[in-house]
Amino acid sequence: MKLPKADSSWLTADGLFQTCNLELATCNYNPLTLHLHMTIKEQQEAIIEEFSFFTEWAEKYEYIIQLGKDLPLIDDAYKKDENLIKGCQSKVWLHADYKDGKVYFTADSDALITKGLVSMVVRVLSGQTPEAIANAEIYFIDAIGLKSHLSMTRSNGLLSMLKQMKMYGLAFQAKNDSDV
Amino acid sequence: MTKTDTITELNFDVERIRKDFPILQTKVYGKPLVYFDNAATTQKPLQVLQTLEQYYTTYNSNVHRGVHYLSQQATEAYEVARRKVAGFIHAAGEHEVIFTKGTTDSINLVAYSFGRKFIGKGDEVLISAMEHHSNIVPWQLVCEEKGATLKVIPINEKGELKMDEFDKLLTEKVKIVAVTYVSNSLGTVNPVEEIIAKAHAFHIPVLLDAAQAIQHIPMNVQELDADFIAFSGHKMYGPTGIGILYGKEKWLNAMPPFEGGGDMIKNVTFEKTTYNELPFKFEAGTPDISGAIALGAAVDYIQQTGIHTIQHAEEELVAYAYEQLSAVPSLRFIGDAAHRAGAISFLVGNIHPFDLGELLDKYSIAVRTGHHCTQPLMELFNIPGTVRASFSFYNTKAEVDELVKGIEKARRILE
Repeated sequence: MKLPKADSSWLTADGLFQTCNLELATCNYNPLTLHLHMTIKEQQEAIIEEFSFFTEWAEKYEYIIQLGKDLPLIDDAYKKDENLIKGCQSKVWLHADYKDGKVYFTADSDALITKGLVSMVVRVLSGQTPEAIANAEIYFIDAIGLKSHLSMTRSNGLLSMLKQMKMYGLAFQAKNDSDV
Repeated sequence: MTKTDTITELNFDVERIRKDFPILQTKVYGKPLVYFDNAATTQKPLQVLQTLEQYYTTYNSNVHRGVHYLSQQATEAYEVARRKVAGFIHAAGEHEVIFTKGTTDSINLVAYSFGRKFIGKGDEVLISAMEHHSNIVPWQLVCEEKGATLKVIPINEKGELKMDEFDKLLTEKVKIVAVTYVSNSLGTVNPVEEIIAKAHAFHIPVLLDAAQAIQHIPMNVQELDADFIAFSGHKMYGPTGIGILYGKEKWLNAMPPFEGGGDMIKNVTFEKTTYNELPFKFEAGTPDISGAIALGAAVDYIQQTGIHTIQHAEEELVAYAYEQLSAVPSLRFIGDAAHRAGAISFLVGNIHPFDLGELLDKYSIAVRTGHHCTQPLMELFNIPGTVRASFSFYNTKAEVDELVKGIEKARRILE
């Protein structure tokens, strides 16, 4: 399996910067704020670049499953039906925290491939402002060749999850506006 | 004589059969398609495709209306198709064969029309725990409206009906028994002869959902003595959008029309409408003419191949698949009925069926994953769904081997 040359880094739900060495499958939490200002677009570009290293689909899927393991897991207290995003086939639980003007997501899924995709979406949108999330255009899923996950036929919850994340963005945005 | 001998004797050549189905030569992700989603819909032979094309290119016209040449030609072909279906299921008369949109439409027709006339407050409708949503929801709707109760025949852990419980549930209160002939999720073949005989002892009519039976098992509605049979054209090598409701004349005559419109009337005034006779009473509006005619071609195709030959070939293939899948470590069958047809449902270790289905797709193997529109059944087994491989006589043992290899490879990625 060919892996991205650079370590992969992203923001965790705790607002910490996480660096993972994918070859060794180890992660370090790094409190550096150096990359905190990575935009949604930059996060997506980074993912697309990581996936450009794979030539075989099986490697791509192995990587997605690996990414699932890095998903900031939803606290068991929140893993209940009201946070369940209903898809036809796999389940996704999603929770959002709002801290210092930014939204942090935690999630889980009962299917590994879905969990990997959820992990990527969380990586892209977590730590962003409500406005940025509400207005985000998510294009990386299509770009890395997993468009089917966003189609009606799959109905696997990913599309519903994206909608729910944007709803959180809008809700926190509205809360901000009313506070002003 | 073994089954293999029988097949050879009947001169069954799967490679020749496969040439009739252009889509089976398709490549998916650069590899030959392995199509094991036949319970969802079957592929169509050239004979059916050519019939569709011929209809639209040479005699497309509305039926039962025009005095002109094309309309007469279309009407004749439409009615010949009905005759073919009636012959295929051994109906006493072709007027007992109603063209519908499909199984779901057929069941809704009976639930609505029979229900309106014969189901009342305090009555019961009896279905089974392995029904497709389309044989649950229409009955729920009619029960809710009429103040009747929906009762469910339970199943055992193998996915077979508990017939002793069925005996207990059969009472004077039951107005209709609606059960599936073959389970779409588990492949279980239900003892429909016994169900019908027992229900009839109480003068209760029986509807069979034959969507997963008609393409696998020879059907003789008179021998079965079934009151209603519902099935779809697209699961028996015909087009989508066309289906059949077979009903005994005495019931169909006693039931009010389902939908009002053209073709189903004899005479209309603003004061009163008299309805057309069977089968037209239940065919309001312009029907799916091309679909019906092409379904007739599908019936011809099955008859020429021989439904008994198809049944033998499929039994042999399903037995082979069952044997090969049994050897896959940590694979467990969901539904293990002694008598099965068409489909095999399974799970592998703790792998989510959705994950396995997605990877199998990448190996160009088409299976179905999920609850197969039988959510109550999945809840009984306490699983999110299954992976279902469903077979047709045009599938091969080599394809089964590809499936087994695909599962092994996917398992290495997912475990």
